[in-house]
Amino acid sequence: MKNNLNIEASCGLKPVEVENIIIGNNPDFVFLNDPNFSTTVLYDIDGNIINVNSWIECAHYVRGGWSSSVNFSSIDEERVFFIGTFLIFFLTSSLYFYLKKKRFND
Amino acid sequence: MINSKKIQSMKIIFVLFLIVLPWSLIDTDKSAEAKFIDDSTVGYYQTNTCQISLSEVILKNINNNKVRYTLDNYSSISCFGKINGLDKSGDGYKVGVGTNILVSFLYQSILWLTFFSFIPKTRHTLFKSRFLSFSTLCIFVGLHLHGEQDFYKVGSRNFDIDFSLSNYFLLSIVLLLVIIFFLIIEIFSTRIENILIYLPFFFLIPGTYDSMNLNIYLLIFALFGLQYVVSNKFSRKDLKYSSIYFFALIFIWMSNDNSIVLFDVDKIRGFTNTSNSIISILYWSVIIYFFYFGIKYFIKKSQLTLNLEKFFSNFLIAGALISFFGIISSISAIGNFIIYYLFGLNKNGIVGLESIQGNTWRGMSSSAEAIGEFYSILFFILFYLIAHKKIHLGVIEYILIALNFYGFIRANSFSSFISLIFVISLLIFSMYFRKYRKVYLVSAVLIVPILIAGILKSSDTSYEAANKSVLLEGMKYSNLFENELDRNLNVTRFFIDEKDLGTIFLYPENQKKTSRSLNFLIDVYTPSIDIPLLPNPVASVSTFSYVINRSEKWGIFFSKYDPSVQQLIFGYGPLQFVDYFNSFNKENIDGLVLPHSSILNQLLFFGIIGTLIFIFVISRNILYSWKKGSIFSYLLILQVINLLKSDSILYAPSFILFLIIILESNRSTSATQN
Repeated sequence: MKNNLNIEASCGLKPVEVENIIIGNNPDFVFLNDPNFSTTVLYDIDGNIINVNSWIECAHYVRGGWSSSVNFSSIDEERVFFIGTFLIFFLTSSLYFYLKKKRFND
Repeated sequence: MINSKKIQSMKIIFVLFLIVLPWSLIDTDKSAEAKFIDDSTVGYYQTNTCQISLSEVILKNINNNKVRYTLDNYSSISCFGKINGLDKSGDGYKVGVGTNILVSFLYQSILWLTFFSFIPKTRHTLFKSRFLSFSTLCIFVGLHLHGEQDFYKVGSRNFDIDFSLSNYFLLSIVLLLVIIFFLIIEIFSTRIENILIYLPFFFLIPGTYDSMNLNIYLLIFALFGLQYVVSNKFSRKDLKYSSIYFFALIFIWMSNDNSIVLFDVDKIRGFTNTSNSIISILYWSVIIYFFYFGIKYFIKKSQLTLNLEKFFSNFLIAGALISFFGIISSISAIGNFIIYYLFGLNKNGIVGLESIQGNTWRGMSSSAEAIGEFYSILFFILFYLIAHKKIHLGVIEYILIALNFYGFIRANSFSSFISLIFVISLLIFSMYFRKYRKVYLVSAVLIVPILIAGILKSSDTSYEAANKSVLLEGMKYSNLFENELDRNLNVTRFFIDEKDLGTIFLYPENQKKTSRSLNFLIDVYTPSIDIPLLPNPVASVSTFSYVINRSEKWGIFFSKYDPSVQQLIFGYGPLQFVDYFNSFNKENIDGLVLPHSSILNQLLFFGIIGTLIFIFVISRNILYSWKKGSIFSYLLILQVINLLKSDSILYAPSFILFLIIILESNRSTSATQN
């Protein structure tokens, strides 16, 4: 029941003409675009994103843990990016100025 | 001690590393391998997102010509360079490659600035007031992000500009700006005198950031423009008066309609405003002001006039590379993707070697006209150097010229070709038949109407039809006879049968559908007093536009251009299209249809006063440099003819080149004289 609510929240109500089949992990299944379905962006817990183009595709991903709301840890990613870039910049610029000064003194 | 050769080798390795590594990174715990892309693996790629690197997919699909690569700049940082999705599109497959605004901003800046570091060093120039310059530009980029947040929210993940110490997106942007400004100053302050000599390479690397409305040349020149203003402290007269005038204009532009609308900038991304907000108008006005003085600063410090041969050889190499990469981009899907991203193109290169509408092939360039103008300048300088300096060309130069010629022919810019022939003839007359130079100019002016008559005759078009073609096209796009069947046919019928423009307004409501500018043109075209032998200006321009295939584009412009008195006099502001596109006749045309004339662009941006000043400055500079016998007088004439019918100044490299030619033509030295 909870899963169905999640699907509705992310993908909207199931269109009447769509058959709610369970695809599972079948790698040969190809999702067909539904022109009546407006492309929806889904996110997973790692911050990955995917665009889904049909209700059945959307429902498949929501069952697998994806969601239309941003609940991933990208804030952490940006923090890591900021700190990592700052450290690299600080170290390389320090080394650069050290070498420049040394060259000047020589 | 590391010698300069070793440093160059290290830089080459670093560039290769930069080009390959970010697209080849894989997670240690990844569970998916790349597979050949066909119908059976679409589901596989849709399930295993952000696990497979681009390099792996390229290697597996090297012979798969059904695959096209597109950027997915809405990805997370960890997904950068990895496959983020796959969709079947017609017979082919679209592979989404993850990119991210923060990573791209850092990555592209470092790559392009490393390219700049290959330019040979000259004397060191002291950069004054670093902190003031850094902080001022950081504030302006902050204004840019704030003023154009609608644009960024659509294309960038987690875009957030709220001031907070926990907002790592904004902190990262500030940190990246500090790094970029630091690198710009370190690299450029030792190369200032040489930068403009390498200007042709700006066309190879247009420098537009992925998923941003920002261009690296804007940052570079604005930073040095700030330096110019700071070091001169408004003490120079030109700086003082132009600044007072310009800052007064900014207030006028900001007082225009500021309803916030997102403008789809498409191929002019990075060098135009996407919003109509007061803050974004302020940002673009001020940044263009500093950008202009930045170019002036470089001109002042550069040795361009003394290094014409080196300048030409850079043109030759850059032009050949543009042709070469254009071919690669059009025949290879991965080439198309990589060139777009690594060179910072505004628009993906053309797919396929076949010409498109108008028989043009633009290669990797965003505009066939802009690249046609680039090649026309190259060939003029070649001709000039052969005639004046008697330069000798080797085998390599001939190969490079052949590649450039290929690009020039394929761009199929007829106006560039004709203007090149005109300016070369002018040069020949100046050199060998100096006393007949005025006769040549008078003949050239006289021959234009004869040519126009010949073209009209050969295309079986009456002068009657040509002389109001702009009006007809303008009316076609003016929503006249709204809700009537065959609207366009109705308008045409009125013109042909009635031969009276006023009749069209007998239909109720039609008067309100035409813009003020179009109404004005109609009034001028049908004057109450007919002065014999004096050509009607609208009829003349219209006929000219018909011959150069601009009737439709200029007609569209006048169908939309509906300025208030203030906007007519002072314009909408630099690189400001939003109001023009979104106020009058908003939905009369799909997509981005630009005015197709730099004069019309000037009218939009700076109004009548700005356009008149612009025409005055250009005319004065042509006369001044002509008297001095400078090559820049020819280049300026060449540019002016080309720009009458093109929008090239809307692309950063073309605009920089045009500004440099204008500024150089005003300071001729003996080195460039005939």
